[in-house]
Amino acid sequence: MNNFEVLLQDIEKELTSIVGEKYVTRNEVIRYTYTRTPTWPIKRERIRIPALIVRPGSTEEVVEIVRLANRYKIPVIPRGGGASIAGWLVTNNVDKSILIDLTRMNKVLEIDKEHFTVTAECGILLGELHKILRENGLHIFTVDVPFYIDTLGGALSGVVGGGEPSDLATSGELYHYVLGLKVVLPTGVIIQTGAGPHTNIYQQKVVDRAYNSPDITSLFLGDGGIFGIKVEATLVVEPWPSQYRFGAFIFNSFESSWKCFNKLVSTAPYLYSHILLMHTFEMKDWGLLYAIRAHLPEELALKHSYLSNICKFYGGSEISTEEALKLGYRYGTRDIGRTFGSRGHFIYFEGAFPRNIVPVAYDKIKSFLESEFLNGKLNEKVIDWVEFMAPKLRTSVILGFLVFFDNDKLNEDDIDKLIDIQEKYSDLRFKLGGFIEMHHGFEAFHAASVWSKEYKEFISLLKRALDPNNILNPGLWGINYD
Amino acid sequence: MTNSVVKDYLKNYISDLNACLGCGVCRAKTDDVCPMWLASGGFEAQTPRGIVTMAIGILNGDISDFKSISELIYLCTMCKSCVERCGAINKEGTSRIRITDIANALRFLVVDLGFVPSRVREFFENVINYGNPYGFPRDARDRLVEELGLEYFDPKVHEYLLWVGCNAVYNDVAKESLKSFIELLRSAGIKFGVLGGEEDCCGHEVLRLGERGLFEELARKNIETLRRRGVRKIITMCPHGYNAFKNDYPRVDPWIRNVEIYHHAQFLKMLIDSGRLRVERVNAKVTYHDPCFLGRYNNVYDEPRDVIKAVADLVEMPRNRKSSFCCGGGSGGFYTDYLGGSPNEPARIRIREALSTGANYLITACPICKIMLTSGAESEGVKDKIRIIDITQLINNK
Repeated sequence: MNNFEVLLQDIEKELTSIVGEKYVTRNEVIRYTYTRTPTWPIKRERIRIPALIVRPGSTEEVVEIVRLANRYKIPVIPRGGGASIAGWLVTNNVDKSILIDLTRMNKVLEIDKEHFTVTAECGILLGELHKILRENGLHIFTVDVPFYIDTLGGALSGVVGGGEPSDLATSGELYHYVLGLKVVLPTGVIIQTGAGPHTNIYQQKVVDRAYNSPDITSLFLGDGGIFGIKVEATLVVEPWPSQYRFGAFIFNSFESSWKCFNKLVSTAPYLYSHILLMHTFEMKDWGLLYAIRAHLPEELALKHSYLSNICKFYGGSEISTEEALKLGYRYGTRDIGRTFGSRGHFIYFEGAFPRNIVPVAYDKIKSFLESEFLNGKLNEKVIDWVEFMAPKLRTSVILGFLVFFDNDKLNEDDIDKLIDIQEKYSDLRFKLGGFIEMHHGFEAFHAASVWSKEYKEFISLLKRALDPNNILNPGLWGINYD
Repeated sequence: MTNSVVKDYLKNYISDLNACLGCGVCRAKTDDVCPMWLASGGFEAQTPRGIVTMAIGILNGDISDFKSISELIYLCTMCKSCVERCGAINKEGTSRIRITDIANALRFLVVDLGFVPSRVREFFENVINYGNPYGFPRDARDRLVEELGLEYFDPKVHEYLLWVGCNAVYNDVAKESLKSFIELLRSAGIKFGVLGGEEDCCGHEVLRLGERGLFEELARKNIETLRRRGVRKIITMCPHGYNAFKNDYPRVDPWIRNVEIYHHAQFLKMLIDSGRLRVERVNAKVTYHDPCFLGRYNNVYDEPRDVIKAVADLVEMPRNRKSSFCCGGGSGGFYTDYLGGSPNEPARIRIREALSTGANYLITACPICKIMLTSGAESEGVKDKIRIIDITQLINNK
């Protein structure tokens, strides 16, 4: 038994005394099931296996675990639903780390119907939170990719601080709705952010984000979990919009659909909760998928009528809901606005772009991907190809290409080639003026690779100040220090 | 066993495993997809995604602790809810990942390697020694014929063979349903017989627990009996037996395809539709629990509902049909009970859901579901608030 094994035994004993025997394990098989591939979706290697898994049930237990990790100077990896599709065990020394599975901390602590807020533990699944709020007649803009498995804390830590709700086009990102967080800092100190009793001793509740102090909540949003472990969050909710309509219009050219897309984006008030331009392999046309939420049937009908008139003006013709759903399946959605999944092995090339440069970016990325995929050995292995554009508010557009493969035909050389294409695409995306779409896993390194020197030094300074022993997700964003 | 032989167990699922994104929709707590995850409340390995990851680990040669794998893999009830929810879909919108089949393949592996948990081993031994999972005497099947005044099947006299199944013989809760069904058959003038002591365990759970050799032996023996006795039409009391005859036995001997197989809910529907069975409305608010092996495995959703609606007002539970929630009894769970003992055991969750509808009767069409749900109601302390009965008892007003 080596020294680390001896150390692990001691740590396991201490963890057991904190959370109980049932919630600590060093079992090889169980630890293995916590792995993800560092380069999903195109590699199956699972080489980064944490040394210990612990499942705390309270903030106090998280604090004790973090203090223990500081004492032993052992890395800690907080983990939510484990749903990141960019791979996530990319911190330093994973095999010598404690993975904290936060899914036991899954309670809704308060629903304040007067102020339209909810406070919940961060291990709650977004779908569960959504369900409980809906039972209370309320709606929350949680991400829908993947709605059923992301935890609140995981979502807020990754994908630009909360990801893309199904109503992204009109609601923006989830982080817009966060009022405050309870965070266990890497030293084990608990901090509550948001404009409330902790930043103003005369306040009773968190009902805003940044009165009375700097907006410290933002520090922890999209941080990849390096600045602290989120244990509770307070968010804005709204009355449940009971009316819903989904459908699609077909346009005979990209130009006409893009003009329509821009007209819709510039219309006030919003006529939709979500729109998506979409094009596939065999389609000559472009589809514009829409989802409309409303509180009253009349509101829904009116919004649809206006949206329909605009689409028709630009040459669009509406297809049946059934056909629209089939089109949605091509995008990978099984149940529009709810779940997301693949129809095979796909590799995605996504980025967020300022709206004005989208046509140019689209042409250049498309031509790059076609030259890589359709003119070489990979051509016969590509089984589908989907292009899409989705607005975020009125400012930017998520531009994406999903390339689907026949799983069984890919060999090791192909996988190396795919990784190479992905790396090249990442560079191209930045050079065209785009941003990344993930903050977990390797995408965090891509993002950090274009930080300015001053910015990286500033982030490193913050990290050092908050985490002197560098125990929390060490190495993520390429930030390293002893 | 060499690594390549181990991998052979999973060779048919490589494409499935490659298609998995690891998104975890299969384990989602929302809508309570996976009974295993809910009841164990535990680690990633106790989820469908964990099962897929284990299979990948074995294929990659990364994990080989088969004792641990064995302890984990038997938590799954094979309810197939995860498969219904899996987002890795083909162009038709159905799942590409056969998670329950992968779990079964892992069980074949651990059984062949000799890593079988004690309760599973007992199950196998009881089936081998006594022809039923409980380890009760074989002659109970013949005694039941006498007790209920049944007739042994004779193709010259009887049109149908009633396949009684183990639970209706050895468990009083299940036996109530059998008695009720027999009364209905008699009142409809159906000519049916039974096999008595010649009926053996159907092997459905044996297969799902991973003992392929024993299953094949049972299937061959039962098929031989059916052939020898000239059986052409079977009515089963249990969806597990129904699934065995419909989907498992043809792989052992295609002859079974010559036999018409009916689940008793389907048969009741035929009797009512044809006018052979007259039914009376009952003053009851009822809800219906879809058995996994009748619903998700065989798409029998409408017939039980049609039968229920013929006599009572049906109010659906929030999760019904394809999204129905397992009682926890599948793939031997009624015996091994690895998910039992907590407020989150599947049957108790399901009972709470049934109560939320305001129904005073919870109807099912499976003896195993009935046993599990009855036990769940007892644990919840609500036996007086909701009565769990088989669809036959509803029709028979018992």
